Parts: sequence; structure tokens; C-alpha cells
Amino acid sequence: MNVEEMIGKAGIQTCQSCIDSLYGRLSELKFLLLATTDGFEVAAAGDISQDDYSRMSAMASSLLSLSQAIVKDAELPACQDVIVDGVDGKILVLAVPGQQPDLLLMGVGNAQSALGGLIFNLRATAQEIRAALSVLNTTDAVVVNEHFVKPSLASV
Amino acid sequence: MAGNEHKLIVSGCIGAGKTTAISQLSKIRVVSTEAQNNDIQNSSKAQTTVAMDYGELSLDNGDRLRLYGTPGQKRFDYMWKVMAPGSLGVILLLDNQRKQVLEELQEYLAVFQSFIQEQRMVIGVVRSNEYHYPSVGDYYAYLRSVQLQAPVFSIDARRRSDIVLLINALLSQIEMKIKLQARSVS
Repeated sequence: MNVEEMIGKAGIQTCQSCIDSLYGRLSELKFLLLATTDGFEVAAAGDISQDDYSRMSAMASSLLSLSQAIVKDAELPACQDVIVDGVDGKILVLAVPGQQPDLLLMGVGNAQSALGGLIFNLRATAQEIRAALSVLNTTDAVVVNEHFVKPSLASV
Repeated sequence: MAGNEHKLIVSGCIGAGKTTAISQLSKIRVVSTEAQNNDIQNSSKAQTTVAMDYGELSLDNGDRLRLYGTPGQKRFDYMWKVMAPGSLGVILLLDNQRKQVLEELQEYLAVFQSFIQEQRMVIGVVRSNEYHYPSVGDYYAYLRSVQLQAPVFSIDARRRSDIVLLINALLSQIEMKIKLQARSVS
């Protein structure tokens, strides 16, 4: 089963729209990617080649999973985000809650990126993806001209 | 007095029983990093290892073995290279149910080339009681054709005694090599 079978074409387009929207808003992002928690790429935006996209998706899944394991061993309630503080940039990986298949979101910020901004914006985008895919799953959404339109009763 | 510590890698294809094998042996709670498996074409398992498994085992002489299980899918092959350095040896698990098992063996031999050349690898084949080809003889024939040697065992990864057999075979090989090298020096 591939990603398109799992999420659907509309789902992938929706995810891509959310990713593109965040990448367009946050100038300090080098790239963003959305992947399944077992390392398959779903959507990406920014300065990243296809080879890097595939490899980074797999690496992000390893990083998130290892972090969840260490959080569990440390008897903390849950792993919210994984933060890698690089010399000229930052990497943030977080799980997109409540989706099937399980998804993760990874953002790589440049040297000017502020950690707080990355965390806030990626968490918001994760929630947006979750809400958008949930609506698609309940077939309440209307997709017009390949842009996702939220139904009026959906929570914002 | 604490003994020495050694690192062993348990690698192989998805579904071959790496996580199970480490769970069978480990004296500590195994660290596992599993995620929902979406690669249904490759394996019907619900969960798959995406970073590593970790377990520990004590030997009779007081030494401790640290067991590191690698993810099976090729997209995680960077983990094989991350985990291999400093390892005493590799236990390679293969699944006879898989149609391309000899091709997969070829890939693993390339990744762990130095281990097999230094006689620090053993191969365990699972599900050979249900899927008879390749036979253990076929595996040996393939290894001969590429001028490599490693013990090959037909095993059940759920059976502790079978995993112990693999470890003992690997440690015996390594010990023999060390003794031969010592003899040639003296």
C-alpha cells in the first residue's frame, strides 16, 4: 500500500497545501516535510531534493521514535517535540496527532530561526493537517479548484 | 568485578525476527522503536522497527553483550552504518518466505563486508521449515560462489535456544580467530 492509497489524492493535496502555506509564511524555514512515522514521504516544501526528502523522512521517523522511547524510559508522560539545535540552524520534529496513518512533521530552520517560532508554527500546522484530514475522512469537505475549502461547521 | 562489554548487531530483512530475537535474550527490558507499518507490500506486520532495538545479556565469564537490532527496510540503511562501528560481530537473520532472499543476502553482505571477511558473522534463516527454498545448502553454495564463509543455521527466532545457538556460534568463531592469530604471532 503506498501513501496515496493510505491518505488519498485529496489528502496529499491538502497536506501539501498546509505545508506550502507554512513555508510561504515563515521565511526562516529551509525546508519542511511531512512523512509517515515509518519513514515514507507525504509532502515537502523548500530547498530539498527528492533523494534528501526520502532519506530525511526515514531519519525523522527514527529520531522521533527513539525520542519517544527515551521519554518513556525517563517516565515522562509523552514526547511533544524533538529539537536538534545545530550550529547554523534548528531542526524540529513532531508527531501529527490523531491521524491514520500516523504522521510526523519536520521543519529545518536557518541560522536566523527562533526556536519558539518554529515550535508554535509547526504545532499549529500539525493541528491544521489533522483537522483537514479528519474532515476529508468524514467526506464533509468540498475540494474546489484543488484548494481545500473548510466546511462552515468545521472548527477553526 | 565487572567484565568486558561487547556490542553485537542483529540485522536482516523486515519480519525476520530481529526484535523477537533480542527480546528472547535480553535480561533488561528491551528498548524498541516501532512505528505503524505502512509498507504492507513488503510485510504484513502491524509494526516495524524504525530506529533500533536494544537489549543486554550477561555471559558466563561476567562479560556483557549489548545487542543492537537494526531496522530491516532499505530506507533505514543509514542506521546499519551508524550502528556497525565498534561491533564485535553481526547476526544476520533472513526470512525464507521472501522471494528475493538471496538478493537481500547479497545486499547485506555488501553492507557488512568487513564482518564476514573477518569471520564475525553468522546467518540464521527463519521459516525454512515452511519454505524450503533456498535450503541451507543453497545458502552455502551462494556464499562459496562469492568466496565468503559464514555459518548458516535454520532457526526459529521465537525460540531462545536457537538465538543462543547463533550467539555461541558467533562467539566461538571470533574466539577461534583470536587464538589462531595469537598462535601465528608467537
